[in-house]
Amino acid sequence: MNGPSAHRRAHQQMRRAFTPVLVAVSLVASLAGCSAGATASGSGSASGFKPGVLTKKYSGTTLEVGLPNYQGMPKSTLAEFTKATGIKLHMQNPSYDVIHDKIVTAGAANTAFADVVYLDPAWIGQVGAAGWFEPLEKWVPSSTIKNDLGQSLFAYKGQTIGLPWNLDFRGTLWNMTLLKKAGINKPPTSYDELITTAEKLKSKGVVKYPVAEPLSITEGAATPWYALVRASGNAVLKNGKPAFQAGGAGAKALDLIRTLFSKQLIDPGSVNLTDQQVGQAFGNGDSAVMLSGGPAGLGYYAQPSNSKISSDQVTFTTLPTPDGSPSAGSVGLEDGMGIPKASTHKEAAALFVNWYLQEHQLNAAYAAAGLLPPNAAALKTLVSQGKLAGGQPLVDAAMGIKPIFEGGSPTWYSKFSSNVASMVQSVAVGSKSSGQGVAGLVSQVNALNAQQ
Amino acid sequence: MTDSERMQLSRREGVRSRWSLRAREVTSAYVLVTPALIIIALLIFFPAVQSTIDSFRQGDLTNPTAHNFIGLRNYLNALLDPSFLQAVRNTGVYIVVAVVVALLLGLLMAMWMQSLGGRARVIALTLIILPWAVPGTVAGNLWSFILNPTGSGLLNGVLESLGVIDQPQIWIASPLWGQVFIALSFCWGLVPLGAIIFLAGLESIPEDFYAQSYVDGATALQRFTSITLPLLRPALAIVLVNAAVSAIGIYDQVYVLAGFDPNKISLIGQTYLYAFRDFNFGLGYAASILTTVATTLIAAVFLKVVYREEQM
Repeated sequence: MNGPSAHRRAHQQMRRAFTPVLVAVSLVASLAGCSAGATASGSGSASGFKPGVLTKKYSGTTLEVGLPNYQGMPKSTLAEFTKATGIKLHMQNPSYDVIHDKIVTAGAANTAFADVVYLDPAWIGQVGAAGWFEPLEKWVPSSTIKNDLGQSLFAYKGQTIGLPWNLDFRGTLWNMTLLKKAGINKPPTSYDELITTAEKLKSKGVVKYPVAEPLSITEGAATPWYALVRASGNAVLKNGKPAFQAGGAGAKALDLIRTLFSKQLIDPGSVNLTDQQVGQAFGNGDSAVMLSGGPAGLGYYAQPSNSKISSDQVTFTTLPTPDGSPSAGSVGLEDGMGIPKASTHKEAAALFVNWYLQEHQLNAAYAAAGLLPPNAAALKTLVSQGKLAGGQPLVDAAMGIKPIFEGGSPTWYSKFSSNVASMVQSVAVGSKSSGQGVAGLVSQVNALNAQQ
Repeated sequence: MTDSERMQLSRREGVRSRWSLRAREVTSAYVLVTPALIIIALLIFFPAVQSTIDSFRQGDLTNPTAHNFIGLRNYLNALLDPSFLQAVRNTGVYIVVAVVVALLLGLLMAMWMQSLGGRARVIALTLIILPWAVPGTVAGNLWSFILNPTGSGLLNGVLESLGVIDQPQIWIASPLWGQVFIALSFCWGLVPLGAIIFLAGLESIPEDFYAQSYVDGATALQRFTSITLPLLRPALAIVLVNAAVSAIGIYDQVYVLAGFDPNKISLIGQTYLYAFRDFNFGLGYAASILTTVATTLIAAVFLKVVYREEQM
C-alpha cells in the first residue's frame, strides 16, 4: 500500500504548502476589510473645530483637492493657504466627465476620491439622494454660504451640499470685430435677427460657419437648448414635470437650431463636436457667435495663449429670445465644491473651502483664468477697479441667473440630458420635426417620472 | 533475501521514489501557480462573483438604504428597457459587420501576403499590423476626420470629386450609415489580426495537397473550397470568435464618433449609462452579466459549429 500512503503524504505536503498561503489570503482579506471600514467611517468628528478660523491645528495634513482642469487658482495663491495652515494641497485636475465617474465609483465604494470635490448643480439631485456629501452648514461659516451667489443651486432637501467657486451662466458671446466686418454694429436680440446676422456674415465671406454650436450627443448639445428655453421665460422642468413646452418655447428654440443648421450657418461637422471643440473654433476666429457661452470666455479669449482672437472685441450678452424681448433669465451653471462624507480630513477640507471662497482668492482666480467670482463684494470690487471684462452689465446678467430645473434637479437628470442632446441633434439634422422632438421628450419625462 | 525478493523490494522503492518525486512536482506546481491564482481570485473571480450576487439586489445609489434581494427584477428591467434592446440591436449590427469584414478582408489580405516574397511580405505584415496597435479612441478620432460632414472630410471629398454625391453627407447622424461606419472603424483594427491568423493557417497547409490537386486538374475555386477552406477551419474559428467577442465589447469608437446616441450606443455603453449616469448599479451589473452570458454563448456556438464541421 505504498501508493496511497505516498499520495497521502503528497496531500499533506500540499496542505502544508497551502496553509501559509491561505493564512496570507485571509490576512489580506481581513486587512482590506479593516482598511475599507476605516475609509468609510472617516474622522467624522468636528470636535473643537471652529468654522472659518484659519488655524495650524491641522498642519501636516495632505489635502486631496479634485477640481476640474480649468480651475484657475494660481499656484502662488494656493501656496498662501499652505503657509497659513500648514496643510499641504495635492491638486487633482481631471476633466469634468472623469470627475463625475470618480465621484460615482468612490461613492458606491463608500470612499472619497478627494477631500474637496467638484460639484455640478445638475448632479445635486443624484449625489444628494445618495447622501455622499456633507451639509456645509456644519463646516463653513453662515456668512460664507450667504455671500456665495448661486448656492441655492447646490441645496438638497434644505441642506447646502456644495458651494459655487465659479459664477458660470449662459449668455451669448459675440466677436464684434467680425460682426462689424459684415456691417453689424449691435448684437441681435431676436431669433430672426440672429439668423439674418449669421447669413450676412456668411454671404460676405467673413466666416464660413458663423454660429458655434455643439451638436454631438453630449451634455454640451443640451445646454444651449436649456439656455434658449430659459431666456424665453420657461424653466426646463418644474418639480420634475416638463415645463419646456409651454408657449412653444422648446419648439421655437429647436426651430432656431434647425434653421441655423440647414442653412449651414452652423458647421455641419458640429454633429461630432463637443462644447470645448466649438469653443476652440470660436477662439480660432472660425465662427463669430457662440450661441451659448459663459462669461469666463471674455477673459479667456482675451489671452493670446488661449486664442487667436485676443485682439478682437468680444462681447457677452444675454441670449436672444424668439421676439427680441429682454431675456427672462440666464441658466446658472456654477461650478461648485463639496466635502464627501467619506473624507478623512473634513476639518482641513472645510478650512480650504472657506478660504477659497473669500474675496482675495476669488479675485486671484478671476485675474488668472477669468473665472467670475460668485461673491457680490468681489464683483463690486472688480467693477469699481475697472478690472471686470463686461463690467456692470455682466453683473446685472449674473443677477438674473435662474435654475434650469425649478424645484431641484431630478435624480434621472443624466438620462434626461442624453435624451435632450439626442433630440436637439435629430431636429437639427432634420430626422425629426421640432414638434415631434418636444412631444417625444414630454413622453420620456413622463416615463422617467413613472419609473420612480 | 532472494533475487526475486530483492527485485520486488527494488521495484517498491522505485515506485515510492516516483510517488515522492510526483508529490514534490505537484507541490511545487501548486506553489508556483498560487500567486497567480490569488491575483486572479482577487481581481477577477471575487469581483465577478460579487457582481453576480449584486445583480440580484436593488442597487440604486440614490436609494442607499435599499439593498435587498429582488431576484431577477434587474434582469427583467434590463430586458424590458427599450434603451437596452436598442443597444442589443446596435451591437448586433456591429457584430455582423465585424464578423463579415474580418473574415472576408482578413482572408483576402492573408492570401495576398502569402503570394508575396520574403522581404515584401515582412514589409506588408509590418504595415498591416499597425492599425491593430492603434487604440480605439485614436481610431475613432481618425475616422471622425474621414467622416467629417464638412468639405474637409475625406470621404465626402472623395465622393464629391467622383460625382457620387452632390453635397457633403452627415454620415454619422444617419441611423444606418452611422452604425456601418462605426463598425468599419472598429474593423480597421480587427482585420489585421485576422489576416495574420489566416496567414499562419495558410502557411500550415502542406504544399503536397495543392500539387496533387493540380495533377487531378482541380480549378482554383475547387482548390479553395476543397483544400484551403476546410484546412483553415481552426484559424476561421479563432478569427470568427475574436471578431464577435471583440464587437460585443465595442465602446471607444462608438463614444468618439457618436457620443451616447441611442441609435448607435453599444451594450457596454448602455451598461456604463445604467451604472454611472443613472446611478443604478444593480441594473448595470445585470446588463453586464447578460453581456457576458451572450459573449460566452456566441463564442461557444461559433466554436461548436466550426469544429463539428471539422469532425464530420
